[in-house]
Amino acid sequence: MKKLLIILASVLALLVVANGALLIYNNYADDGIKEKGITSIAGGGSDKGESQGNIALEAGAEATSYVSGYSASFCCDGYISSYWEGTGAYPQELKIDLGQEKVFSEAVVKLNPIEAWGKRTMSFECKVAGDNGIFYTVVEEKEYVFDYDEGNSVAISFDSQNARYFSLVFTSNSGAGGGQVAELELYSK
Amino acid sequence: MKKILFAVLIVLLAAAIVTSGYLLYRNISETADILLKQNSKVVLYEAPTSLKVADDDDMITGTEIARNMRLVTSRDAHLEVAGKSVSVYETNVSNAHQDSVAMPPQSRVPVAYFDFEGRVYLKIAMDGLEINEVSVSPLAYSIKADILDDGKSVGFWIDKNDSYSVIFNGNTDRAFHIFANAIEKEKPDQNDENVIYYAPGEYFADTITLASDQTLYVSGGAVIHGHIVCADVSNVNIIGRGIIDGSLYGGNADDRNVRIPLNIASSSSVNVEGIMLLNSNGWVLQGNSSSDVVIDNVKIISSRANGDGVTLQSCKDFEVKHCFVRSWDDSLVVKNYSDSSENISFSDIQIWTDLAQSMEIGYETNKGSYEDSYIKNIVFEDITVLYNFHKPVLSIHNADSCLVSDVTYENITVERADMTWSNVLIEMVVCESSWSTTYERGDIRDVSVNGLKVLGGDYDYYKAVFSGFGKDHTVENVHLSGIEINGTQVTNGKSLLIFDIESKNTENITIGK
Repeated sequence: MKKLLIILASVLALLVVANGALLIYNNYADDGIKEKGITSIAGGGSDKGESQGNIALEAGAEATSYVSGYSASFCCDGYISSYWEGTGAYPQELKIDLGQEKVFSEAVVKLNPIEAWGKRTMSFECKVAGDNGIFYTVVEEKEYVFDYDEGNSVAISFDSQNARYFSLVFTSNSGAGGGQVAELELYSK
Repeated sequence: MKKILFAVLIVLLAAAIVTSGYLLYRNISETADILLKQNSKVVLYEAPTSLKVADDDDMITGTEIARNMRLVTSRDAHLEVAGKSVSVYETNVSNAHQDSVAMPPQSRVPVAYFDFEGRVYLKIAMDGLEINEVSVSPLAYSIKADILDDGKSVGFWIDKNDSYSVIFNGNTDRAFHIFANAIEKEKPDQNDENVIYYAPGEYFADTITLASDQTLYVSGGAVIHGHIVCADVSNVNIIGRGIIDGSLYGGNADDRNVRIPLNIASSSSVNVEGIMLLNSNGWVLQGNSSSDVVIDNVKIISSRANGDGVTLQSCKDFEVKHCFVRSWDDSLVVKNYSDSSENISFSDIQIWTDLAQSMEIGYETNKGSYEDSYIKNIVFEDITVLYNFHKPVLSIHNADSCLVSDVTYENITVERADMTWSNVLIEMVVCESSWSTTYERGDIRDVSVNGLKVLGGDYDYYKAVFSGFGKDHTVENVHLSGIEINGTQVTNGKSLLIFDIESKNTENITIGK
């Protein structure tokens, strides 16, 4: 009986030691799978620029004309590299549809802010319309200078509007054959 | 007392046995899940959070007018590396393998990348695709991929830093390109004034012009919409794991203002390593009148017109190695636009040619009309052509007054030779073409092909065409050896690889074991 007890105790001791070893190995293996050896680099954001509060982002857009490959939709896509360019006789109208009436009091018209986009002057007026689609002028036709040194961007403020449609009616561009807009942004200031 | 002790021991023993059983079971089941071998390492790069996830409109096949070209992340394709999810991009390719058109139809394939060392398990799931068959190229690795989850996913191990293309159900439409880089040894100091450092994120950089002694670092996880220009510079490094993307640039849909993703012009001592060039609107990686350049582990996929992969004009001492080039136009190209070309090597490169030739010398061999123009010491070595969909695999089109000589093709494997144009596998000709500039013609001398294996393709036999021009411009001393077509060694030019030789202006063209 005594011998049996010793044998049982020995087997028990061996099992405890073996279990301990297995436990340690499993923990180590767990570390290897889930932690050790794997480095995850988190994704970064975008340098797309300040579009916080821009209610025109991804709005519907159309134009009276466009150069092939430079359609109106590029003016609201959030990408400063892509742009709309009109073609043919002036006036050329670029119109965006916010989907429903919204309040805004400032339009920001942007061109690509790289040096290759040389200084240019564009003339246009700003118009708005409610759900009924009847447009009226909020800013008369005026010349605007787009200058690389000043970010190739122009901000136009006007009385607060509650409107669904916003349009720019171009009559000249010293830098190209038609009106150009990389981004048209609308804000409530 | 002994009885009590005995009973306690029995209970303890039973508990220990149960515990052992549980631990052993857990150990076995965990072992099955160990997807990263001990001492292996993986570095994963999450895509920029601002990138759009593909929707139905992004995934249609159509010209660049019909749909958005923008680089997006995948909705349907998923990759896990060592059990961790990896960002998958959907980049543009063109599966139109016919004659060049201004706006070939665009479709998308999944692309992912990571760094690792050791041995690691990859698991791919493709939503909406029932997988009945899978293959992983390069076939030389003999990777056995298992179909899992009732055909919804596949899994396989890799242990080499290389590019892997996974083909589902024998159809290349949704080939999954995986770039398993080596782990970066060291990154440049972003506070160094000579370092332009792009951390993970999405950037609208447009033109990045590098000056001498500068380093451009494109971190893994970075997507730069733009293109890189090295003009009249020296001692420049362009390194990292990130993506240079041209998808926002219009191609032939607009003025086709080509922005070559990486243009190295009139420069020397340029080192390019690890980056990926996607969605170009023209040539992808151009070297022009440059010398002492090393291109290492660069991954290229193009889909639009004139999307030549690596195209070198009038370069010297130029080394291209460990690269992946899938292109919708010639994949590897040597030309002369001004001075002569010399000492150019392409080695350990995977090619997937959707259009035109895989390895092309020409057609413009003296576009600058220089006297005594030559192209010599050009080596293509350890090249695996995964798919060659259109024109010849090996081609010299000497279409100007130039001596093309000392060209070596060593250990070339063509996994699929599915040319839609014809069964011409090799074409070496002096010719006049629409790309010719000079009135005079040149010659081709001393070409060796040592080891060319075609593993499969649309044809039972192929052609090798050799022709000079008139009586005075010849093709001489071309030696082929180690040619194998569909598992059979070719010992003469009369079967499997049939020689089509213009006898009046060719000499000493041979084939041996």
